[in-house]
Amino acid sequence: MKKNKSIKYLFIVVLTLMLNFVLAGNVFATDVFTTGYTYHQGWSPNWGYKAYNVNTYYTGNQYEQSGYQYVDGHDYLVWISSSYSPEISRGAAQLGSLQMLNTSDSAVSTLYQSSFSPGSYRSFYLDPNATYLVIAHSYSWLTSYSGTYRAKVNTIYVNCDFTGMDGTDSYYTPYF
Amino acid sequence: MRKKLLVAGVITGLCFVTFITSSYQYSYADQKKYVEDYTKIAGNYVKNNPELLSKSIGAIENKAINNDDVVTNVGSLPISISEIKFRQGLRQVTGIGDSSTKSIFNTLVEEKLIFNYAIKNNLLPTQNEINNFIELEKSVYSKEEKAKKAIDAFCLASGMSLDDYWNSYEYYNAFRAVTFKKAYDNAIEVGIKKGELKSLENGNPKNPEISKEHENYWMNIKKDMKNKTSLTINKQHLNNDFTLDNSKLYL
Repeated sequence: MKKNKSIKYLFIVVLTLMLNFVLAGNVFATDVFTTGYTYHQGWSPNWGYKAYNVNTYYTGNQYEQSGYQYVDGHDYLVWISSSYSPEISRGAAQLGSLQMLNTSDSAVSTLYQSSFSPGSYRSFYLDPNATYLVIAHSYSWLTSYSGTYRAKVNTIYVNCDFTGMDGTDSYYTPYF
Repeated sequence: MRKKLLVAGVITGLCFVTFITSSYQYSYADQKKYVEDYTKIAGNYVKNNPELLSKSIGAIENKAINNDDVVTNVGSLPISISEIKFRQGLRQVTGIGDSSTKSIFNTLVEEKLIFNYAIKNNLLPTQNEINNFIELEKSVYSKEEKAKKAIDAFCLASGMSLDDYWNSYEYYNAFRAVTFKKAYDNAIEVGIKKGELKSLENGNPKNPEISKEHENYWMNIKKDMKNKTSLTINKQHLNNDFTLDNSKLYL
C-alpha cells in the first residue's frame, strides 16, 4: 500500500516535469551574449587626429518551446571611454539590426532599433568614466524553427565632426 | 549593309556602357577618401602656411601679437587674424565643417571664453599635463597601424618630422583639449559642491542621465559667458563677417 503511494507521488513529479518541458520550455532559458569594441579613427579641422574605441555589449534570453527557438529579453549597450571634454564630439550610435542567423549565416529573424526602448532589462555596472551612447532593451522575439543559431548585432557609429570615423561594427554570440 | 549597321551599333553601345561604367568607377574612387587623404591635405596646407600654425600656437600661449593682427579681444585674450585663417583654411581645404568666417570667429570666441574661465580658476595646463596627453596619443600611434598611417601622411605632406608634429601641430590641439577638459571638470566639481549637480558613482544606473546633466550644465555656463561678452572689432578688420552670434554655441 505504502509502495503504491510512493509510485503515485513519483508519477506526479515526473508528470509535472514533463508538463514543464512541453508547456514551458523556457524554464531552461539561458542568456547568450556578445561584447567587443572597434577602433574608429577620424580627423577634424578643429582637433586633428583622434580615435575612439566604440564598445558594444549585447545579451538576450534564448529558449526553445514547442518546436520553436526564441530569443527575447534583449539588452543592448554602446559606450566609449573619452578623456576629452564635450567640446570634442563623442559621436552617436544606434542599433543597425539584431539578427538571428542559421548555420549558413542567413538571417532568419531580424529586429531593428524601432523595437527597442531606452533603459535596460537587466542591471549593469555602469562605468562613471564612460559615455553611454545607447542603453536599450526589447522584449520582442527573434524566432525560428528549433535548430542551431547565433545572434549578430550591428552597431552604427556616426561622428560628424570627424571625417572617416563613421562605421558599422558587427558582433556575434556563440551558437545556441 | 544592315548587318554592318547592326555591328556598328552594338560596338557603339558597348563603348558607351564601358565609358559610363569606367567614369562611374572613377568618380566613386575619387569620392571615397580615407582619413590619411584628409591628413595629407591638412599637412599640405600647414606646409604652405607655416606662419599660421606658429602664430596660432603663439596665440594659445598668450604670446605678444602684433596689433594689426588682432581682430578683437575676448577678455584679456586676443583673437588673431592668423588663428582665424589657420582654422578656416583647414576647414576649407578639407571641406569639413562650416568654413564661413562667422562660424570660425564664433568657435574661436567660445574657445577664448573657456581659456578665460581656465585662467580665472588657475586651470591652465602644466607642461607635464600636456606631455602626458601627447604621450597617450603617441602610444596610440605606436599601437594602431591606422593611426600611424594617418599621422605619417600628415607629416609627409607637411614636411614635418614626427617630433615636430607632436611638438607643434599636436601641441596646439593638445593644449586646447587639456585646458577644456580641466575647465569642464572644474565646472562640474563646483556644480556638485554647490548642490546643483549629482556626482557620478561607480555602478550607478543613472550615470548616463547624470552625465547628460553635467554636459548641459557646462553648456549653460558657456552660453552665459557668451551672452555676457561684448566685443569690439578692430577697425582694420571691420570688412569681415566677425559677428558675435549669441543664438547658439558653435563649439
